[in-house]
Amino acid sequence: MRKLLSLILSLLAIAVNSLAQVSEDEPSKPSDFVLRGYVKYLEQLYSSPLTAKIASNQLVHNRLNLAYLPGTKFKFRLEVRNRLYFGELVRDYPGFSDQVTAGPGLVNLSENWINKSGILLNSTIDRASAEYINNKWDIIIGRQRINWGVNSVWTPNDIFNSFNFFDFDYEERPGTDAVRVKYEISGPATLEADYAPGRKQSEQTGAVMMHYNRWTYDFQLFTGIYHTDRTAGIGWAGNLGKAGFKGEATLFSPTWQNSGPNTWTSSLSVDYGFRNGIYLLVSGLYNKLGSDTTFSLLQLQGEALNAKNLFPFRYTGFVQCAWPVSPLIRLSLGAMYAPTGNTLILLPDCSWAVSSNWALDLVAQIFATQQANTYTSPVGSYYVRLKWGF
Amino acid sequence: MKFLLQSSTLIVCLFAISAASYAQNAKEIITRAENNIKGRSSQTDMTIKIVRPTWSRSMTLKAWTKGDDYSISIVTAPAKDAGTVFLKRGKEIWNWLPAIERSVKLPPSMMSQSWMGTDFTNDDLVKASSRITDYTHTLKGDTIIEGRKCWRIEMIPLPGAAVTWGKVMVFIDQKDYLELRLVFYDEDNNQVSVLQCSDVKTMGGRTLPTKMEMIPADKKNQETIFIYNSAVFDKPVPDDFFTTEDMKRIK
Repeated sequence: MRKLLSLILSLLAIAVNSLAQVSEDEPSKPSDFVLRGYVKYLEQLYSSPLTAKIASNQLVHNRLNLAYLPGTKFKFRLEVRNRLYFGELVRDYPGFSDQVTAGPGLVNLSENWINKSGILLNSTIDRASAEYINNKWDIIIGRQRINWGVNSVWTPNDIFNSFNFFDFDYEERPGTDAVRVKYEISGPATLEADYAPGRKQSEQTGAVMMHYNRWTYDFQLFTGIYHTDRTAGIGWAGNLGKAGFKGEATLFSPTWQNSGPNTWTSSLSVDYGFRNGIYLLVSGLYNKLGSDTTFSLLQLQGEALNAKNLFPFRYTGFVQCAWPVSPLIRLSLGAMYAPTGNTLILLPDCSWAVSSNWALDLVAQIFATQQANTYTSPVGSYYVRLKWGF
Repeated sequence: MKFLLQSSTLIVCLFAISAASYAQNAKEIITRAENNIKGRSSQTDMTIKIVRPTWSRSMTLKAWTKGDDYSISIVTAPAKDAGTVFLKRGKEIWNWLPAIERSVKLPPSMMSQSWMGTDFTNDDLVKASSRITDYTHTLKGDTIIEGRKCWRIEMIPLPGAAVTWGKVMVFIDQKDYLELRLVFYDEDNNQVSVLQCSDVKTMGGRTLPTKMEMIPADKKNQETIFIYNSAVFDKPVPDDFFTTEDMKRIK
């Protein structure tokens, strides 16, 4: 695996190098190769009642997105994230490297180059796909992201690759190894059949989705197999007056391979943009498998939940208000509440577009639960992030 | 008495006809000027510059339009925003976010918000059709702008029209039917902003102003500048080009 990854990364380096030469010699000629990416530096401070002091962690994160577009019918993508972690969390938190390396998919395309003395250097290929587009057909094979979700916080319809909302630094979100066949029936109406085999038969996901637009609403309906369950779902994106109104629900019903009750998750959201630029979002989640009695805060951090059990709580609400102080500075405050343990999560965020391709973000994630009618010391993660895009 | 009544009716009628023909003229001028810019379809490549007292930013954009109902645009620079796509079909708007590979349907309330931090609102960019159907139009005389003789036309929104302005004054070149200046007023008749058009050139077989500056009235040293780098008009584009599927395909 290490050899395969080394080979792919070497090829990527050659492509980057030749691309740089082409752009110098013939700046006006459009290239079939497109290379984009970024370098980020993330400083994290972590405080918890369990640890006596504040732990710190550093991450240098590079992403390379290479696309090869020969003509209009084919598109090849290869995208890799290289992460260098160092600091106390890497050294002291057991299983940190396993968490970084973990990724779903048929093939393991993740490698730890260095993993000792509190330093972890990892490369992960999270997109590697070939796409064929011909008139009404669009076929993609390989590692890709299949975004079926409609909402921005909880996405029950994301049965192929659900994501952790708190992992804000992973903007692209995980991919999955799958085959995707899409057919455009007419205009905005499409029919799609996707299949992700998984490493075991009990990890496979396959479904057919119909997407159409009527009465200024986008609707989607799907049915298929999710691991060892039959699944069906519905989603929509439209408006109530001038406010946006989105919703989605997914039902899971056991097949012959397992037993257990039917379960479902659903999420609704309403958003509104005021003339002065303020943006307001209200969203809610019902997760039948979620607990309404006990849970651990660790369930929220790092651990990948899945489409069937999208969040630790049965009921969760979220309110977010974002304010663009200027075109360059955006302040945002999000608050999440679950009746389970009266859990409150505060998500303040400030982003500053320092220059055309530089951005600075200050982000905090503060988790608090009530025990014996009082809120104990919260668990908090505080981040400073500098990003350069190219 | 009967004569007097007949005469006064005739005078009222003449007055009404005269007013109607003036109104129709003004509306015709606006319609012709609008068609002059938009055409049946267009493909444009433009640079947008946001100017503020202490900083400025530039971005480049490619846009395709068809009639009033369809438009799609993609940001091509800077790298941080490149690949972001806006799609309009009728009154609906979607935004394609390349980082997360998802299209997001925008709520109608976001139409009055600033478009990507510029002095233009989303509404300015996608609902220009309302200039013809959502206003009454009155000719207010002539004036000279950029050395060109222009009509001065007052546009007042019709009751109930979804227009954010109280009044708009439009200045249209009498030779080539070019919109050379638009002055926007709020409901209290205070000037809100001016759209100044200049650098008249022939592009894509048409004569048009290739530079537009949106200047807010109450903010010093602040403006947004649009510059057309190239344009193609009336090239046939099917309606199916303007779908959420195409948002991820255009480049």
